[in-house]
Amino acid sequence: MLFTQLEFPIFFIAVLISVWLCRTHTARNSLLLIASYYFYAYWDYRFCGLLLLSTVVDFVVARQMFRAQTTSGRRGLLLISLVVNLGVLGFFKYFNFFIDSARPLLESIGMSGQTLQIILPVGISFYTFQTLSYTIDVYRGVLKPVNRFLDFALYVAFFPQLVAGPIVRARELLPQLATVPPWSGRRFYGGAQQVLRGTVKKMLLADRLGEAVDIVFANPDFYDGPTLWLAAFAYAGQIYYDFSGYSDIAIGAAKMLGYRFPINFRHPYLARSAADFWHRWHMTLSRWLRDYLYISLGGNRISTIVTYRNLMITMTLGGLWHGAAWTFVLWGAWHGIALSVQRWIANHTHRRPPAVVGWTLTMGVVLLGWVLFRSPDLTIAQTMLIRMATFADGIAWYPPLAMLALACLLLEHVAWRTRLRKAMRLPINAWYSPIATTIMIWALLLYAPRGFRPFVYFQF
Amino acid sequence: MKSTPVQSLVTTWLIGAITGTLLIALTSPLFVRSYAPLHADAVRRVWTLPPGQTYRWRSEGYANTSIGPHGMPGRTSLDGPKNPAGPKTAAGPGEWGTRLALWGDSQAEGVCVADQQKLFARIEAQTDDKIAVLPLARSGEDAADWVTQIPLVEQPFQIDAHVLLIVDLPDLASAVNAPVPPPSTSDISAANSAIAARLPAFIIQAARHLLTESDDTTRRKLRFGIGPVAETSANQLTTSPAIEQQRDEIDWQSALRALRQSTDRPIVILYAPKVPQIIGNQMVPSDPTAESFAAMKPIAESLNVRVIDARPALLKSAFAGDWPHGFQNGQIGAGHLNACGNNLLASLLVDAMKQPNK
Repeated sequence: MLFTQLEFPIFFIAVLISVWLCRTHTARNSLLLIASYYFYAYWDYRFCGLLLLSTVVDFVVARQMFRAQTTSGRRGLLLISLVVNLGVLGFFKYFNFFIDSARPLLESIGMSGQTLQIILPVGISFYTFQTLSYTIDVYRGVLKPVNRFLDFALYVAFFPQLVAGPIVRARELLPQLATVPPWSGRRFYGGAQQVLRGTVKKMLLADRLGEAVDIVFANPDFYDGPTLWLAAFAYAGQIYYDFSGYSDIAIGAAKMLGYRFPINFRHPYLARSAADFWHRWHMTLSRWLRDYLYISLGGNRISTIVTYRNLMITMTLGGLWHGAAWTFVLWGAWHGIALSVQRWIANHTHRRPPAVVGWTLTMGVVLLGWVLFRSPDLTIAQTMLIRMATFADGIAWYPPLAMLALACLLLEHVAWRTRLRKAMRLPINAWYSPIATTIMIWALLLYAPRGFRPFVYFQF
Repeated sequence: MKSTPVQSLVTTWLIGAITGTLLIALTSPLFVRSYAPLHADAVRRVWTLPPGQTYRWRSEGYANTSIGPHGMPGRTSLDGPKNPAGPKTAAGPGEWGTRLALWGDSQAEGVCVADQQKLFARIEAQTDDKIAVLPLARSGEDAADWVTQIPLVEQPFQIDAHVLLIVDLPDLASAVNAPVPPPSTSDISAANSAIAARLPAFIIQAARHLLTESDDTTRRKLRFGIGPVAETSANQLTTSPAIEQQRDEIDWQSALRALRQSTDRPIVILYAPKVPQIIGNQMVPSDPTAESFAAMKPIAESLNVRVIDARPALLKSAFAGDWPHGFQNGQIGAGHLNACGNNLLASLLVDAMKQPNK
């Protein structure tokens, strides 16, 4: 089920009423678990089995790991969890990609390079990372395994964050699921506002920008240089509003149910360096990659060269996590290079560049990265970049509503740096809050583009 | 008596909700199209846009259209040059007289462009207003509607000749379905008009968005069953099977004879399909109904119906960078005729007038 489908508010209101009527922890969590599995089965019930498999394996493995007496025993159990989770993810997400990429090699040794008809289960990348964080934390001894299967199953399947994050770590959510959260009108209102804000971001801004982006990226040969630049900026806006909108809805919905999720975005286009960007963009993934991959590889503790290597591996795999295509791999590697170069300059100059220079360079890196990220293949990416650089001739197309949405992106980032930041949260007692809320609801009804428009991150 | 904090909060939110709604109501004409109550025209015997009102179009293209008598979009009077010798007949097909009726669907209606950019206005401008063109086209109409109306309007409007803008050939084939029934109070248009007369446009638009699917007509159905659901093919770039099937089934003899029999005055078919079109990642320069057009043209000419083929001019214009279809707020290269397209078609028609025997 999509958060932006008309069915979702009906489902969610029913869940909200039922959940807040539950008096016991077991009843509440059982209801939420059933609702979460229904939420997932709404798309395709057949993949609920994968979710359950991942849940059962990690629940059992973590408990056995806690009881294991030897390091090798614990390591073996961790390996089981890694093999099962990454094996399932690898098969569903990457099997065809690797076969396609290795076809010449396979055929040269007489093997078949046939791909399979595989449907990518929605959210598999997210819940796999989430369950892995649990077993790795138990392995590292920073978390005790949970005793109640119900709580753990709900942690894995909790519907607000099931299909596209935020990637909530076990130590953040499991303690919250162990009790019945107290009712808080203020938190409920804040959550509802965040849900509304996220919906506006997705439906009014991201989808409007997406209309222009989809058409131009489908065939950049037709359009002139400025239109391609506009499409690249529009995609930067679309993916930000799409994903941060989704995150807002997820965080807001969890708040309305009484739970707290970590924030996922902090105005990333204000970043003044590549590292700063990753502290503001998809923060829960950055954190996961840092804690469970970069640090596991040795981080920056071994040597300068190894640090650069670790950065490149982490970011390239981070790119691959987004999708099984070379464009994503290159996008990740591109950010790895940017982080490495930034670190090298910082190590050698011991001075930060002026804010404007840092911001401009960072946005250039990010924008170029988005062109790679959005392009369906490397040929389209190459065409886009060449025609952008040469300001090629073609159709000049500047959709006014997409430009208005880009203006909103700019104004929102600027306003965030001013005293308007507090007002943007629409406090319940402020005179302007009901006006702004009413306008947002009407605008959604009147001005949102029509048709089925899934969230960009659902494909990951 | 002092109000409690809760009462005060409720009051603030009520006033705020009303203020927000008022702000939307005030600004909505900038973004929301008109929902005008339709008018049952006594002469044409069809539902038309309401005379004397202004019609807003906002989605693809952005224009206000003044609705003239008998629902003519953009033309506010029936005035204009009249042929002193009276209307011409089919016996003299080269001479079209001075008053043309323009028939067609939404492409000829042209509510997405300003009045002075509409097709009828461009034809009049290019003939230095020596010709009057009465825009009788209406969105959704086809040859069945035109064949029904042609005998009704010729005398009262003193029409000398009829120009049919054909974008989709099946619209022309529908001539065999004439006559269409006159407006009735039981029509859906009557029910819609009653709603449009009572409610502001922004409320109607919001209700439509809530209650219908993205095509604006299919009633929305909520699904609460679990998946998977069968996928629909959203992006069919090729000719639809319906068109392919119609190509074989169209009885052009009957259709064109029905058209011819509706009037003894000259008829001109201006054939302007949507070419070239940008659809997805393809530019489609070919006309999917080219074969059908080739079958139709000789039959039309044998019945003294003149045919002007706009396709070469449309393609040439697009390849020169002047796309005849599409708008900045829609998609360049797809959709309705824009100002450039209307001007181009007007030129073709005016050129054809100057070469009566071709």
